[in-house]
Amino acid sequence: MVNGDDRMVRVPRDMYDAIGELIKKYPQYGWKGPSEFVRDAIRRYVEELHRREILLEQAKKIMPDRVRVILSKFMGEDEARDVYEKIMKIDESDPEKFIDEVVLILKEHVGEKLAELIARRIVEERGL
Amino acid sequence: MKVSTGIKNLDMIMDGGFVERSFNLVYGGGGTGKTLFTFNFLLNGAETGNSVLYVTLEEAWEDIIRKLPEGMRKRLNAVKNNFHYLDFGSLRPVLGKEIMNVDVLMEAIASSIVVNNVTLVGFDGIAPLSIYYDDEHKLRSVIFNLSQGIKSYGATTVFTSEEIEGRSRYGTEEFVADSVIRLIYTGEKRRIQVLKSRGTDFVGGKHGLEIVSDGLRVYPKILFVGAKIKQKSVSIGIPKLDTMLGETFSGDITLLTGPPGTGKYLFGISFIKNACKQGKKGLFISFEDSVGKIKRRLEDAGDGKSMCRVVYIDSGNIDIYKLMWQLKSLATDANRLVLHGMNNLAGNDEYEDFVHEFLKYVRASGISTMVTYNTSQVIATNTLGDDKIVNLSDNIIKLLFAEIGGELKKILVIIKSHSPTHERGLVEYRLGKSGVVIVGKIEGMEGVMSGTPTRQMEIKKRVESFFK
Repeated sequence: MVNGDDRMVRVPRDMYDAIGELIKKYPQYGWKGPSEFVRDAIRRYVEELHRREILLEQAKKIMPDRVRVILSKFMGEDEARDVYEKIMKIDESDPEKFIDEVVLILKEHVGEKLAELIARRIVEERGL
Repeated sequence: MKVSTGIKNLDMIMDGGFVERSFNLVYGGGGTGKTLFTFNFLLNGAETGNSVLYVTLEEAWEDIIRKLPEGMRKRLNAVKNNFHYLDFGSLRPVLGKEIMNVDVLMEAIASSIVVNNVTLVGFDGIAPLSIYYDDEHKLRSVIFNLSQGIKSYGATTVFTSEEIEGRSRYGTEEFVADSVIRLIYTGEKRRIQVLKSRGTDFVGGKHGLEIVSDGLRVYPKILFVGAKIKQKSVSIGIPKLDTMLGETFSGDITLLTGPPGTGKYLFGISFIKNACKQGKKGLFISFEDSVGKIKRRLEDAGDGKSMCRVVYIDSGNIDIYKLMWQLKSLATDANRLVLHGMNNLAGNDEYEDFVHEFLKYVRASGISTMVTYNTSQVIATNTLGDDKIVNLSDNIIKLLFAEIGGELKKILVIIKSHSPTHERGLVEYRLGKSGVVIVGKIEGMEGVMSGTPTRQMEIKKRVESFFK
């Protein structure tokens, strides 16, 4: 059903065809046509981004303490405190950037791979 | 350049220690002290101003610290600013087996080396690597990569591995390592053996190892004898015996062998007494009689306050190499030494090494030494005791009993001496309160050594009457 406030978006022909095939393949989802499929996909994606934003925000809040606990056992309280204090100085406004900064600080102390593993694990603990 | 192993005597065995920037394997069975060796290496490094790093893949840091002997824990507290650690075992519950990936390990170790200016690394236990690398070939290349990686950062590393059937756990660690040290614990004694040391000399064989509260001690099986001191003529302490021996020199080893009751320790007392009276250091090591007994006799012999030192050593359950180094330390600057009752050590399977090395040392150091050795038979003994001591002795005096005129007399005979003109006859001696008294030569008797002497005249008469 067309609404006056609706706006048009363009999708490439290949993608349009692929959408048609998916509608046929998964009738159980009840998509009535490509427009409904696209609306459903956008809704889900926005929800996902929103959920990710919330979780990153939560992860950002717990990250300094979690890093400190993990590193305390791994390399001792002194070095863990040093890392913690550096993390506490990061600008917290953007959760994604915050986590990237944490990885950078960790990288200096434990190497890139372990830094990413630790950060990823803390984020995963929040359900991402 | 060499880096200390953390144990002074092991450095001597390894020509100064580990080669700088080398990767060194220490392996052994459970309870042999691998972790303590690693810790001792790092503690010594930290105490000498190095920044050090301990890496554990399995046992938690807290547990390791809790199990450390108190003395080592104190050492750690004193240098904790220089002592860093990475406890990968603590990450496993959080991050899973991914942390055993060699790239993850290497990056973390490298970061710590760079951040903390680490020069010495202890990598304790490589067994958990097999969780990630189940293929032996991969594991070999992982250990190789680790060794090359740490070396490239300029650090000298000790890494440990378990011993399985006489070899390191994976059988490949030895090939990667620049030096290989094996730790052995039999349940009674500890031994340490250097099996390989690339590009440097080392002393082979199994050396004594002791774990004490503040670290590890190594007692090499050799004493690193210095240049031989020039010999000079000395007295044995019993005037008539000097004449009988012909000539004795500083650094001589005199073996006194005989059955119990022949007064061997009194010969020993006379031997050191004179030197002590002259203000020289005399040392009486007894494996048999108590300090009290020897001291009383020294006083009886007119040596109340002297430089003579008497030490009793219980020969039961003793580490022979530790004893050897203890004796060396006690004998420093000594002029005379008595080793009383050496037969008490003879049951030890490393006894011959000890005898050879220690007697070689005292001779080279110019310490005149008397060794007393108990033989078991009272009458007609044919043995001189221990072959090793016999071969190394410059003078051999045999003490024996002989029944002469219904009396059990004490006889001595010189079996060997420097001098070609030494007394060859049998000489009677007595033991008095002031020591040994030489009575005189046994004349006109035959068969004394056999324990059943007869007068020479009687034999002559019997022979003559036979032919008549």
